[in-house]
Amino acid sequence: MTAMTDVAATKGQGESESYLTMEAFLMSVEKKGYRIAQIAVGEHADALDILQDAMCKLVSYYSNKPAEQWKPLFYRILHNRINDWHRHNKLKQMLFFWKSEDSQDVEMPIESKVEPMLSVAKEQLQQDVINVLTTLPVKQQQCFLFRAWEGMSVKETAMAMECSEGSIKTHYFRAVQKLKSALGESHDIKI
Amino acid sequence: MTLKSDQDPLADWVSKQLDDANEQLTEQQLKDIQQVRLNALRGQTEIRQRGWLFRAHEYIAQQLGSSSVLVAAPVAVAVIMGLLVSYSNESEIPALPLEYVSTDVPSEELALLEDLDFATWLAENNQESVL
Repeated sequence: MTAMTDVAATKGQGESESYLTMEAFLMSVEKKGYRIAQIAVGEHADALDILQDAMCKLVSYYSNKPAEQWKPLFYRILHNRINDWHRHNKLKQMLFFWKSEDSQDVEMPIESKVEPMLSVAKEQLQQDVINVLTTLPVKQQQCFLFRAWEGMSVKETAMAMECSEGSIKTHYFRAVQKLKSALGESHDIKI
Repeated sequence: MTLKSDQDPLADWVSKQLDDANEQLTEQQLKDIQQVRLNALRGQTEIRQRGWLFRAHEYIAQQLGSSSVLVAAPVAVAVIMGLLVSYSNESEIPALPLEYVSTDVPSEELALLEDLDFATWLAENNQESVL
């Protein structure tokens, strides 16, 4: 409860949010962090593991850093963990190549299995957006989510993804182009 | 400076959809996320174990439904059954006591059996010579 008030007290005073406690910060990023991981890896359990690792590392190693740095640091760790997961998954697929087709069937994003049952158009639309995002290459996907959804600057995103600001602009531009073509066609969105 | 100020409409629209999707996370998902945060704040040891348990559970559940297990399981059961079943060996059959043979069978019958054996042998030999 106090964590919530910590966030509320600090929001709206300036452009950048600063957090009084680590708990308040984690509460503010947990859902987005989970969703970003879940879009990247597909499975609920894997997304939780990644989120857990990212939070643990932030708490263990960076609690003493200024609160303004927590956000880019958290997303940097999250990004690295997602990359690790993809590396391990690639290796696993190479080692167990005969199971690759099966696993593709099994490792569908959790919402793909559950949410189509909910025939509400709004939820279907949300699901479609998530599905289109999952088709983007990981770097473009994360660049878009960090910039557009999490509202990080080019500099912060570059720091989180450990690449140049120019690369961030390129990734973002390509992601937007792909989203425009995919969502514009399927949902006739005026962009 | 964040992108929010001069964000293009698509990014705004996608962000809104994602925000809405996050509002509709199930109770179980929210509980899991909350637990992850609490674990992170509490300490790391317990989390690691939970993570591995989580993975092990997922893996077993996944494997139980996979085709490789459907094929391998009956084969494994057959092999185990084959190893567990003990076959009786000839050497393990106890020998018939000698007294049993000598005392119970009358000598006339033994002579009769010998005659029968000879007759059989003769008949077989005759057939072979005809062929």
